[in-house]
Amino acid sequence: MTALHHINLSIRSGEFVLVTGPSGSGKSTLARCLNGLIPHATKGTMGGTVIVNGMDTRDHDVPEFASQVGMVFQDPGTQLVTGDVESEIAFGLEIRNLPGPEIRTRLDRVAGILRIRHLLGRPIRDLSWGERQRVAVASVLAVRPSLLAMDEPFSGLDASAAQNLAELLTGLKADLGTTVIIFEHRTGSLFPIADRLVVMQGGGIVYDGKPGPSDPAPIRENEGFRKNPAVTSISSGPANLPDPGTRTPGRQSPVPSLSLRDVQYRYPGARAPALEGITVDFYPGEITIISGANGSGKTTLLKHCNGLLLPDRGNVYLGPEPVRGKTVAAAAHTVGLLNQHADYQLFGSTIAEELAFGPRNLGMTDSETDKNRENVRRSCFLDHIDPSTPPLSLSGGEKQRVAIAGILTMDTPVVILDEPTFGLDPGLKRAFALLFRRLSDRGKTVIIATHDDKFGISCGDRFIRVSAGRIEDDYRRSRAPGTGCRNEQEDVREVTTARR
Amino acid sequence: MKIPVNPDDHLPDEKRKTRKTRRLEILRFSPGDSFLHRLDPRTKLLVLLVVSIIALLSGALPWLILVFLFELSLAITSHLGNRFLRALSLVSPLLILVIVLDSFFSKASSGPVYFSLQIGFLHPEVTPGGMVFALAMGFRLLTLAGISVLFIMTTSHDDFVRSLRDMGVPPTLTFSLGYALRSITILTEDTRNIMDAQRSRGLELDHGNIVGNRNKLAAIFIPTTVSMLKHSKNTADAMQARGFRPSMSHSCYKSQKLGRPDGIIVLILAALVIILLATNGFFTS
Repeated sequence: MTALHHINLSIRSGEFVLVTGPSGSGKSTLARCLNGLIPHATKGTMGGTVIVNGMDTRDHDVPEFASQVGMVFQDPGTQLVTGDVESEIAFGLEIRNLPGPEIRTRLDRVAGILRIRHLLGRPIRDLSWGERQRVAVASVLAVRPSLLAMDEPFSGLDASAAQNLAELLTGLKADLGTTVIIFEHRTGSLFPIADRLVVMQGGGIVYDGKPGPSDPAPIRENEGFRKNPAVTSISSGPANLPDPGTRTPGRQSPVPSLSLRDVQYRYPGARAPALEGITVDFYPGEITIISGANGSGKTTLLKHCNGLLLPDRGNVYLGPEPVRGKTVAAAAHTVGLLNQHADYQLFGSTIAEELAFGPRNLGMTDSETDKNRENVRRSCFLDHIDPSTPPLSLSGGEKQRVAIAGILTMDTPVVILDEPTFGLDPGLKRAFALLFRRLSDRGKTVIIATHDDKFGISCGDRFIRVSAGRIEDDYRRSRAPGTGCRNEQEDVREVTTARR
Repeated sequence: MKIPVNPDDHLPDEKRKTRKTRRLEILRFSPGDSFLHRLDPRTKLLVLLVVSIIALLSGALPWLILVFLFELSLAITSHLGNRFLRALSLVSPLLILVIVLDSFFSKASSGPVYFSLQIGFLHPEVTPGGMVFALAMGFRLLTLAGISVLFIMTTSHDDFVRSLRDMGVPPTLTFSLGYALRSITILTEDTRNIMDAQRSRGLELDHGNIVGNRNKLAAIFIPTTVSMLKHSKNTADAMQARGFRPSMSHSCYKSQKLGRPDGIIVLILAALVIILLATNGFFTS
């Protein structure tokens, strides 16, 4: 399989380039070519040449590029190699044998630029995703590379953290003259600041030019995001949910399928409770979107819904029955919950086996399991992949789809998804929005925690915002036919292009 | 009336598990700014070594009590008294076993015999000398456990690794050690998340045996291995991308300086050793 073909790209010093494209289009592969990880640290063969600051990546190995190319990887968790913030930023400088006082000065300067001085003494494990990302950027910038490359830096960030990062990148370009290359499919906040837009598809470049109004199709989609006044207000600040003018209180069904009553929870060893006084009901036939900043308690709340966590005070009810006293596996008959990371649950030797795991645990018969599995494979856009493929060999976006499918095959009345759109491109996201709508139309209770406001707006009926462990906002909007997922025809077309 | 023997007995399974982990979590670094925290890790390592040697070589009860009181006073001056005792309570089953066995099978029996028995080749007997010996063995265990607990509670992994580096241990070795220590936390976290994900898919892990069940084991073991491999691959890439080479020499921005508290502790320690030597406190029991 060829991941990249016929790539011809030359980037001027000081340029701000945004590389975008659907999942699996080769963005990450291209990023890894910039500092010699391809061909030196990756299996496969490379044809052609990559020259960075006059150095051919074939002739020099990865550490030699470290002082020129700062690379920030997709997962900030795995690229931090020391235990605390200070040592992390100093790491790159220490291995360059810089003298102590020089390291101090640089450390202080870069912490100032990234506004992370308050984090300096903290251990890495206590930091949120957004904070880790900043530390990762700081540790790379401390070395003063002339080129900064970031792979999907926005995928784990909430709206305000994304805004901060965009401002930071603008500052870098202006103040330090660093060449910045961002590989990303959440392009909204970067559009105004990028000098150049490169769109990739199927391993090739399909567009390369100025981000402007007369651009081809993939760009128009982003344009829409920027121009739509309702959405602009969303991406520009922490107040990031749909226009309150559209609120229409009213229930889809009078009997809640899942209720939390005055739930309080504190993690062992933590000072402040992660959840405090949460009282909320979820109803069948309704899609509830839970949003909130990194670390606000969204995941903690979801983990209470099937008993993974039990409240210190208060109760959780599945219909009339309390969750307390049930094992998680017993609660799984009612609640299917998807974990944040697909990798945490995939283990089957084939997709078919993976999808049958949940139903078999619940004691479904083989014929029921097969029927569910076929339906779900189709609705999760997996029918073009051979069911005997091992799920672990799939790409990130495909794994995520298998993970979602693995929950949906259980056919539970309540479906809870924690960041389901992680690693999915806009086309697939819209397709999933449609799928979740269909589930709720069939009377299922759907609860989704997401940072992705655009996705949330496209399928939610009810919006709950969590802040510091409390419910800050909770409202509904009416669902007129055709609203939300604006144009189904367009959605279907997007999906087919994404699948190719 | 039914009195619960274990205060956790009335709690559901999940809660009980948390309590258990909570009890072990006391054996972790507890961040702070006390006298012991500010000591140079090298000094603390020296204290750990010297005190352990004293405890192992000296079998005299008064000496072991003295060393234990020294540890207790260190813990109290560092506001860790409570945690220190709670952590030591974890060794209490072993402590009781040591004291009971040593009072019956003492190698230092002397004085009037309170109790004696012959069972085959075993000859348990209780004498005052034997009981003193048993107590001394108990305190030996307490001093050894105590000094290790103090070291663990007041020294972060990073400080420990840094101090090794300052002592001239090659950076490749210290870095690997530091990373290995951190990986334990990462691995525990990952395994917990994976078990949560599979329980959410209806896999029963709260009841029954996991070890004997191949399917259950695979559902946990495979994702754990995959995430571990992925993690190490990503970390290796990131380290290369940041310029790390195993063979290169490193500078250190934060070199540790020995201060007055280090001097005081070393003096106290030296005094202890000298008095011990002078009074022939070693090798006596």
